[in-house]
Amino acid sequence: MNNQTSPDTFINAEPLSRRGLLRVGGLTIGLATLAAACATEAKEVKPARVGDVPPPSQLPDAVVTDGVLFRTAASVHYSIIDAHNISKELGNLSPEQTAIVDAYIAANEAAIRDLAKSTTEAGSKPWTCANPRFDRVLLAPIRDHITGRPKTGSEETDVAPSDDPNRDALALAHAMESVAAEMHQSLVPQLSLPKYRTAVMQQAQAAARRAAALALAINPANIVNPLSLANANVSTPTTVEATTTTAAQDIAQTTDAPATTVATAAPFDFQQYYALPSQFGSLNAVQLGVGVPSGGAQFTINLETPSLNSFVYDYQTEC
Amino acid sequence: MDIKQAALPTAAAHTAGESAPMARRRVLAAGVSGAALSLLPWLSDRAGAQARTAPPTSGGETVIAPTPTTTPPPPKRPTAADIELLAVAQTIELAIRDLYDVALAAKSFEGETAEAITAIREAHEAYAQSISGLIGADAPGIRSDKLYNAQRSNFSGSAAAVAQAAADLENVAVATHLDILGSLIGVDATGLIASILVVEARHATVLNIIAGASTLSNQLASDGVALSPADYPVK
Repeated sequence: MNNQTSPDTFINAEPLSRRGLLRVGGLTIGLATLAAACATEAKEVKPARVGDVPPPSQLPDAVVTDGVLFRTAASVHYSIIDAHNISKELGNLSPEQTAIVDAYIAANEAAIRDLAKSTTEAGSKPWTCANPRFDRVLLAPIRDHITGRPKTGSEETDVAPSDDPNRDALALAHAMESVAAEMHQSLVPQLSLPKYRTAVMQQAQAAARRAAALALAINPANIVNPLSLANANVSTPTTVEATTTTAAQDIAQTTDAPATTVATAAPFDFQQYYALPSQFGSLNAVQLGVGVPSGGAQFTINLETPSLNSFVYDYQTEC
Repeated sequence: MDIKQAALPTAAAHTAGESAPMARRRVLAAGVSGAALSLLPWLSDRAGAQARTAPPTSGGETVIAPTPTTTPPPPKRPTAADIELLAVAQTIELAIRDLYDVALAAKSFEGETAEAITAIREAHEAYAQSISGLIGADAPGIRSDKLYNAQRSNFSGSAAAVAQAAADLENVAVATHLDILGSLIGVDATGLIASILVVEARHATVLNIIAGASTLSNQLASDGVALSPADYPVK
């Protein structure tokens, strides 16, 4: 028995030639690429991980269409109705004031019906409830500053109840109608069809009339914003400001008689609302001051017209 | 070693010398072909690719979002047809301004009411100027004599009567602008007309109240009939 390997079969007996190396290499690469191409693509559906992690939710497409704009407008009108109901609930309104707010609620309901028709015409489903962001971000804090509430979170003090709920309730109603007018005006350049622009401006002019009438109901003298009068080169109405008297510290006083000067606090200048606030329809934020003044300031909130973060998109299917 | 055997390597080397380039080409060709074949599925997938939109899910059901129709955005600048409409609007605004001048000259109003009427008059002039700013040299810069002459007699008399006439005229202006808005194409023009008409509606309410409207429905009255550009052509 010979344990010696035959020289013919020894692996190193015939060294691999360059030609052979190229041939084998090329064949290997070709087969590998062919196998890789024909192989099914294996996707790891559930890669290994530690802990229970929910799959990331896919954000839906948020496309701003004419229908979305109409849905948003309707949602804001629902929110305005909510605000008017807050005015009725908290404002200690007189019968005349209640009649005005009731009429405004009815007008907003009519606007919602018109907007629902336009929404359907634009190919979307009408929205039937308030704007969630508007209610959460705007109406909730306004209500808090009328009713008052204990401090929460990082607040240092409680929110005091309003010193004049009637004033704040009427200011709220006026601000809401002003926002409605601005909102519809802001939609004009965003809508694609001229007939839709007319539809929203019908609502804008009606809301503007309501805001003007309420401004004069609050204060009949507030017809034109003094700034507009100044722009028009009209002499601004003379205003008499209360004189602020401060307690004098007369350290040189030698008599024991009490000082006759009485310290009176300067009256707080509450926000004024005008029937004609500007020459052109403004798209600025409507400023609303509510609540009891504190430290020479009153809680003031900016009411903006709806934008991308408060639109009611078509994928939102439930109120 | 015999001669034949000795000759073999030489022949083999000779044959290999001829076939070696061919073999290398074959290997390269095989490699390239393999690579091409491996890329084929990926390429075909790319060629037939579509925009992948993540379908939104609602309550466990997949909702296929409709493909939004994209229309070209409207132009910013007024079109030729827009300019004609804006020119009509300007002549109306200037006629209204001149009518307020008639009322102020007749001293129908006093005090704060006169200031408010002056402010409203100035606003209409500002509207005409802003239209000039938009359409430039195409702006007529003149009032509509037809409207002015038709309304002139209504703007002198008692404060209540003039205020009522002015409120009615403001409502006509609002209706006219709404009508124009339904035909305008350029975005700048639509924005301007919208910002004008929303304040003219406020003018109407203020004037209704100055005229003595006591009920809310009368204060908010908006029964104006739009003026047709065909009836009030720009000269």
